[in-house]
Amino acid sequence: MRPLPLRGLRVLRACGLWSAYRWLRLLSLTLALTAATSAGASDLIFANGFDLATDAPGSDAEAARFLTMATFGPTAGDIARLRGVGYAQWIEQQLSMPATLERPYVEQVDGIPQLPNPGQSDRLQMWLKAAITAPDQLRQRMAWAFSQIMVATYGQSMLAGDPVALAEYYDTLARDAAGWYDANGGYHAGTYTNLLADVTHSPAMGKMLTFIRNKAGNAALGTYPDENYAREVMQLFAIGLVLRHPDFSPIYPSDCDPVDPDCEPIPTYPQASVAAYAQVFTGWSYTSGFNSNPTRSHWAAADYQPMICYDTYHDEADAKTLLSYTGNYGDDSDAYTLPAHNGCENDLAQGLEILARHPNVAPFISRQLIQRFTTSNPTPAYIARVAAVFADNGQGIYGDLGAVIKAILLDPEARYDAQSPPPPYVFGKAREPLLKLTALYRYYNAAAADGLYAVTPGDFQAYLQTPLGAPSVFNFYLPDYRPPGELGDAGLYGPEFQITNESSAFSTANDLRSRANDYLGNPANTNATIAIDVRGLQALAANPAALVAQLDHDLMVGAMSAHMQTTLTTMLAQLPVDDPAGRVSAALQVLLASPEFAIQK
Amino acid sequence: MTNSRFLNRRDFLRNAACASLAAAAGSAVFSQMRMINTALGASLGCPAYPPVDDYRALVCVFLLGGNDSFNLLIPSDSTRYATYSASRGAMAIARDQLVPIDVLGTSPGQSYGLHPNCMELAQLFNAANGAFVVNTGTLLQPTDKTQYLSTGYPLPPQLFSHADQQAQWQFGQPTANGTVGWGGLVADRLQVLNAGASIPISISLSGQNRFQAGIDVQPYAITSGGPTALRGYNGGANAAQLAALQDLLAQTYADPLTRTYAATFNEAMDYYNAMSVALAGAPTLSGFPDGNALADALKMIAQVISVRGALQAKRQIFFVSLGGFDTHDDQLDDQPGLFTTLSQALAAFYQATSTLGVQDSVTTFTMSEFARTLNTDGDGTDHAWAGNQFVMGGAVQGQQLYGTPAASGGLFPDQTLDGVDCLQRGQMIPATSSDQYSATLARWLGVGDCDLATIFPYLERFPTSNLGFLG
Repeated sequence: MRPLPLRGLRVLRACGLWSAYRWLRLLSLTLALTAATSAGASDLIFANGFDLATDAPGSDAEAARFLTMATFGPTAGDIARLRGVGYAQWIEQQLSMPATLERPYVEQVDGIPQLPNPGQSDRLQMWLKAAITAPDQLRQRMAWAFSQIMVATYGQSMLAGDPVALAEYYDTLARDAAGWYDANGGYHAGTYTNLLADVTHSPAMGKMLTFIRNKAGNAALGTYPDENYAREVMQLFAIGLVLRHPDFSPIYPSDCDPVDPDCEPIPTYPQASVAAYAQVFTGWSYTSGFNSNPTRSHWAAADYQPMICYDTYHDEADAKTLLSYTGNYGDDSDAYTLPAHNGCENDLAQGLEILARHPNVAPFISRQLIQRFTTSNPTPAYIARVAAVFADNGQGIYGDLGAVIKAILLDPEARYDAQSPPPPYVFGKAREPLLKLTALYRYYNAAAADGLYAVTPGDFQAYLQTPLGAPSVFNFYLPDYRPPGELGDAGLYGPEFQITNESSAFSTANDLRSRANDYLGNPANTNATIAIDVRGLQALAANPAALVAQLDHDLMVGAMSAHMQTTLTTMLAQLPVDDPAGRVSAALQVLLASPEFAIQK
Repeated sequence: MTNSRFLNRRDFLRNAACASLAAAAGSAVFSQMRMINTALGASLGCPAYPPVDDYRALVCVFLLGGNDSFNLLIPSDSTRYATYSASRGAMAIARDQLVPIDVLGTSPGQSYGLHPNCMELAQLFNAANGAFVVNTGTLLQPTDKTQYLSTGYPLPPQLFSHADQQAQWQFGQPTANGTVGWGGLVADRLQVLNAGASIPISISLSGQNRFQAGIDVQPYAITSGGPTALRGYNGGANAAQLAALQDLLAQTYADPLTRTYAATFNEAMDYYNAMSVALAGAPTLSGFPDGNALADALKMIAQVISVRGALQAKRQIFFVSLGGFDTHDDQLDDQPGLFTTLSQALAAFYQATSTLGVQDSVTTFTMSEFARTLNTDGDGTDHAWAGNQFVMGGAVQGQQLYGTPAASGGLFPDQTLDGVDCLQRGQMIPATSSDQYSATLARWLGVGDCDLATIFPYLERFPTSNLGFLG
C-alpha cells in the first residue's frame, strides 16, 4: 500500500480516521520492510555460496575509497570482503546487522547499579571502541551522521552529568538508522519518521532543547510554552528555513526575480508556526513523573525510557496552525491545523507526521547526509536522485534510511564519475578531523593491553570534534559553511573547514603524530596505551618506496600523488635504516598532516 | 612593503577564484549566489589609507545564543520599573538588587540599574569608560511596529534564527549570502597600515567566524594559551620530516579543497614563528579571574596587544565568543553566572589595557544575535530581536546611552508587552540598526566614509552612520 499523500491526511483527520490511517500505514511499512529484509538475507546466502558479485570493486583502491565513505576507515579484512560480495551485498549485510550499543558498556564499565558513577569518558571510550571494532560500521557511520544533524551535546543544558542518557540517545540514532527488533521481537523500521519520533521522545533531547517539563501557556501568569525545540526541530532536524525543490534549490516567490537582491526564497514557516509547535511540545516528561528532575548520573532506569505525556500540562485549549507546504500563511492559508482538545499523544504524533512529510525533508536531509558521507557540494541532480529514494524507496515507503544511504553511496556521482562533476562542482570533502584518527586506528587494529579505549573529552578537543560534544545544537560546523577564499568565492560549501584553522590544523596533526607513535612494541607503552599494529609496515621500512606504496594502499585509497610518494620516499631514505619504527612513525606523521590525506575524494 | 607571504598567497588564491567564478557564472544553480564578493573586495575608487603612527584595536566579544540584555540594563525609576517587572514576570530582577548607574543626560525622574552580577560593568560605566547602545538590532531600513506587521515590508530574513542573525550582526548586509563579515572587509582595507607585519591584522580567539572573514585577509586563530605549536618538526632530528612537510605544503594542488587545507596549514606555519617570538617578550598580566574562559581569552588578547611593536601592528581586530546565552530554561540559575563571567572578564581586560597604557587605543564591544522575549516560557525566555550592547574603552564617550529614539519617544524603549515598541511577547523592535553600531566602530578604527558605504550599503537608509559613542 502506498502511503496516502498528505493532502489526504486532513480529510482523514477531519473524518476521525487519523489513527486508523496511521495504524495501516505503519503496518504496511513494517510488512514491506520485513519482506525486503528476508529477500536480502536469501540473496546473501546465495552470494556467499556460489554466486559472483557483479558489482564488486575492481581493485583494493576502489574498495578502500568506498570504505572511506561508508565506514570509519578501511581495513584489510573489509577490503577483501567488499571485493568478494560487491557493493550492494555489502550494504545489505551491514544494514542487517544489529546495532552495536553504547549504553550497556557505559553502565557495565562502572558497575551500575552498584557504583553508579559513569562519566563522559566512559561514553567516549565506547564510541571509539565501536568506531574501531564494531562490525556494523555503516550503521555506526549513520548514527555519527545523525548525531551531527539532530544534535545533543553534553556541553549544554546539564547533560554533562548524564553520560548514560546521551549513550541511550546515540543508541537510538544507531537503532533507527537501519531498523531494529525490540525485546518482544517487534520490528521497528529504520525510517526518518520513526527517527524523528524517537528523537522527540528522548529525554536527552528533551533536556538538550529544553522542552522536557514544558508546560502549557498560562495567561494569568503571562507565560508561554518554550519555543526552543519547536524552532530547531523545524530549522535543523527536518525542513530548514526556506522552501526547496527536490534538488535542494530554493523556491522563490513567483512575483520576484532571484537576481534581485531583495528577492528572498519563500520561508518555510512564520513565527506563529514556532509558537504553535511549542504548544504541541507541552506536557512531556520522564516516565517517573512530570516534575522528576534526575541530575547527574543517578537516574532511575525508568527515566531513560522515552518521555510520556502528562495531559494536565499539555496545551489543549487552542487549535494549532502548524505548517503550509507551500509557504502560504495568508488569509487563504493551506496550512495543516490540529484542532483544540485533540489530546497530547495525537498532537505530537500528528504534528510530527505533518513535519516529517513536508516536501522539504527529502532534499534537506538527503543533502546533509550526502555531505557527511561523500561530497560537500553534490550536484542538484545527485540530491534529487537521493531525495527521490527518500520520498519513495521503490516499495512505497517514505524515508527509508537504509535505502537513502544506499542511494548516496552507490550514486554514479559518488562511484564512477567522481573526478568530473560539471564545473563549478567539486567532488569530495575535507575528511572530518576525528575520522583521520579512526582511519589510522582501524587499518592498524589499534588496541590497548587492558582491552579498553581510554580517552577523555580533552583528547578529542585536539580535533574540535567530540562525539555528542558539539558547542551547540549547530554542530561542529554548519552544512552551509562557505570557507572564505577560493571555495566560498565560487559559492562552494566546506562544512569541515569551519573547524579547520591555524590552531586546530596543528593540534590535530600533533595528536595524530603522538598516536601514530604509540605503536605495538613501543617500550613507552602502558597497559592503557591504544597501540597501532604497524609491524607489517616496519618490515618494509628498509625499502622506502615499498613502505610508501603500502601506506598509500592502507590510508590513502591508492590515490597518493607521484610527487607525494617521491617526497616521502626521499624523506625515509634520510632516516636511519636501523630504526624501522622511527621510519614508520615519521612517514605516518607527515602523511597524516598532509594536504592530500586531509581531503576525501 | 616587506609584506608577508600571506598577501601573496591570497593574490594567488584570488586569481584561482576568478577562474572558478568564470566557471560559476554559467551555472544556473549558482546564479542565486550573488557575487557580491568581487564588488566588495576592491575599494572601488575610495582613497588609499596613508600610514599611521598611532595604534588602535577593536575587540569584538560575541555573546552566542542571544543575550537577554534587557536584564542587563534595566530602568530603575518606579514608573518604568513597574512596566519592566510586569512584562518580565518571573524573569524580572528585583529592583532593590539592581546596581545603580549614573547616566548622564537622562530625563528627570528616569534612572537605570544593572543586573546585580554586573558590578564591574557599573563601575566602568560610572567612570565614563563604558556606554550602552540600546535597542539595537538587524534592520534593512527604519522599521516601526506597524511596518513590521504589514505584508511585504522589507525585513531582515530569518529573524529569530540563531545562525542567520549571528551572520547578519557580523556582516553589514543582512540579505547577502556570501562568506565575509564586516570586520574582515575592514581588515582587507586596513591591513596595509601594518606595514612590515608578518601576521594578519585580524586575530581570533574562537576559530573561524563570519565577522573576521575578509576577501583577502583572514584571521589568525590562536587559543587562550597563545599560538598552537606544531610538534615533531623541530631541530636536527626532525629535519627530514620538516623538509618533506614543507615540500608537500608548497605544492600547487589541482583540487581546490586540497588547496584550501594547504593554505590554512601554510598560514599556521608562517604566523607561528612571528607570534611566538613576539609573545616571548610579553609582560605577565595579573588581575584576571580564574576559571573564566572569556577572561583567559581576553588576557591573551592583552598580551598580543602588549607586543604590538614587535608584531609591527598599528591596527588590530580581535574576536572572541562566549556561549551559553540561549537561556530557554533555568534562566534565573544561569544568567547570574553568565553576567559574572562577562562583567569580571571585561573589567580585568580594561584594567590590563590601562596597565599597558593603551586603554584609549582599545575599544571593546559586545554583539549578540538577538535579545530575548521579555516574558517567560516558564523558567526561561525565547528568541527576540533588538537588544542592548556594551562598549568599553578610554575612547568611549562613556556614562551614556546611545541610539535612536524608539517609537514611544524615549531612547530606551517602552517595555509594555505588545506596546508601541515591541511585539506580543516583548520582542523589541530595533530603533537603531546593528549596521549603525558597527559602522561607528569601523570608523573609529580608521575606515573612511567611502569604504563605509561599500561595506555597509544599507547604512544610507538610516539617519546617521555615527552613533557618537566614539566621538
